[in-house]
Amino acid sequence: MDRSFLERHRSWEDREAGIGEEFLLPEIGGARTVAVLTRPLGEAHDTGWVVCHSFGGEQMHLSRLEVMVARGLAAAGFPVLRFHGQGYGDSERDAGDVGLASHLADASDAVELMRTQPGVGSVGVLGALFGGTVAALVADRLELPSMALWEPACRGDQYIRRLLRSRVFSEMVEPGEDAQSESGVSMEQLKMDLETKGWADLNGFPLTGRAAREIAVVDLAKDLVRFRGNALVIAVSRSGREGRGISAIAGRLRELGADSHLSTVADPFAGHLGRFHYSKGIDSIFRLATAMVRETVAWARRGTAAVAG
Amino acid sequence: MVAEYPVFIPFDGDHLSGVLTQPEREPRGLVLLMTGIGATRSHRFRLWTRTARRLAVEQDVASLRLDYQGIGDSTGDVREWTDDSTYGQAREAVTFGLRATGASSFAAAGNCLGGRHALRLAGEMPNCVGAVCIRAMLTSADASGAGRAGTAARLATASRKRLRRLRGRPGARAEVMDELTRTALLGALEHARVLFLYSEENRQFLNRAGPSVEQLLSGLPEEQRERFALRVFPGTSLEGFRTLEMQELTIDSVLGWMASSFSAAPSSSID
Repeated sequence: MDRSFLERHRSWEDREAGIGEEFLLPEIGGARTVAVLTRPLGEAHDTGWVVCHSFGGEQMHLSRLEVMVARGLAAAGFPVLRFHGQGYGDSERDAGDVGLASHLADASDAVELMRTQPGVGSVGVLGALFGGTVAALVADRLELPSMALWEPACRGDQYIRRLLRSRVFSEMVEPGEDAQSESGVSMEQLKMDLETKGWADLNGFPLTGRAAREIAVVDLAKDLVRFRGNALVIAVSRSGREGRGISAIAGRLRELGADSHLSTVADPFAGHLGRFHYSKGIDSIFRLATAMVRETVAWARRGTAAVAG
Repeated sequence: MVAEYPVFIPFDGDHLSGVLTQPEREPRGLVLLMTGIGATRSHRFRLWTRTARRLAVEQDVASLRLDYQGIGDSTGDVREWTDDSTYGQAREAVTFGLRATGASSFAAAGNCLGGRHALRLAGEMPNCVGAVCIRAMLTSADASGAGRAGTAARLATASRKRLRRLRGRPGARAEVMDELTRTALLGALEHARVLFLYSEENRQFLNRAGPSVEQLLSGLPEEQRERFALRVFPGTSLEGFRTLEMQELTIDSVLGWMASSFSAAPSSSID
């Protein structure tokens, strides 16, 4: 094993783009994992960002959006940290303990890791879907100065129902070419599994009853109690209109005295966010992701300019 | 205890991300773990992370799980992925992995397009001792449309298939294996063990593919025919590895095949 060869390949730099990336092997959530620090090669702002990933299979499906945001922010002068929470990707632990508590603990550790990076004075958080929920709760609890939430899951009970429905629907779409029965699995069966077995098979991801209960009680419009920093909330839809939950969060942030900016991004493939989106080898949400990156970077730049002003 | 090294592999002006998993002892070989388009290196539900760690602990085999260009942590402004472009990346990853580990032999495993690459690597590289091809794309038409159809398209396809069954017409495509697959399979069986993995849901495909493969193998010497196996998992679909049971079956199959592939290889090809 040529360790020096491997060490030399732990990072890269792109002088033209003005950014570089480095793999880190931190301890997050009490165990080892893999993280990526994307940083500007030139002058950097003192605000670093942590991307909080989403839940279950969404973590993988949103990874490209998160990478694009990280590189876009780094090109604008902001260091960004992405990481695999415990139970995901290259982390040490399995998925059995994944839940709201583990997501929050992992994200909090990642914020602390970012604080230790040279030149970082303050840390903001970002996230899509459930990752946005985690980002909001972490920002609130740690009283962080900034957060960007991309179509966050506003109510946990609705989010869990959506996850269960996606399992039911996938059984309907693909029961198999020679399926003897097309009854598949039902919502009732999944809920019973959560109650009796203690977990349900969510299209290959084990959703525990504990995680389902933890997540179901989340209501961001009520749970945000102390955030007064800068917030970007991006609503993603086909129509360009934000849902009731997003409106409620934006309203709550204003009540708290936060500097809140609500933006909407319309795209015909908005429904693919968080789902498999590579039909026929083509990324269907590339344009949507590009728009979200643009909004986020512009907002981050404005926030920094306002502070400097 | 395993050691893991995340790496960026230079490729065509970009960098492919991957994680190399190293056993405690000197590795018997290297396994390249590949995905279909859209999945990141650890694969859905950490399938390849789990496989990699078991390979290291149970078999002293190193592995490299790979993100294609523009996916996961890899760089690259890619919006469309093709058979040939991703195959080149797989080959580069093998070269990198062998260089890093000091191993001289390798095996490959992958699903969909990754399965096609695994077969092609086995066919083209004499130091490949085994390949596990999971729901591998066997035609260029499949590979050029790499990646699953979206939900609406799948629903439409499922409806059309039900309608064809009702009418008694399977409506299957004529071509099952293209020339590249045939050449790769024949080349692979000269020195490597090849496993095709499917599930019962692919029965119509298997009814066509099975005879094609048998016909291809029938002209080979027994030693080469015995290097090939076709396994069909009962029950639910392999696509997306959407059940925990299917994930475990897949991991166990890959591990079993790799154990026998590295054991069967001539001693000169293993460190």
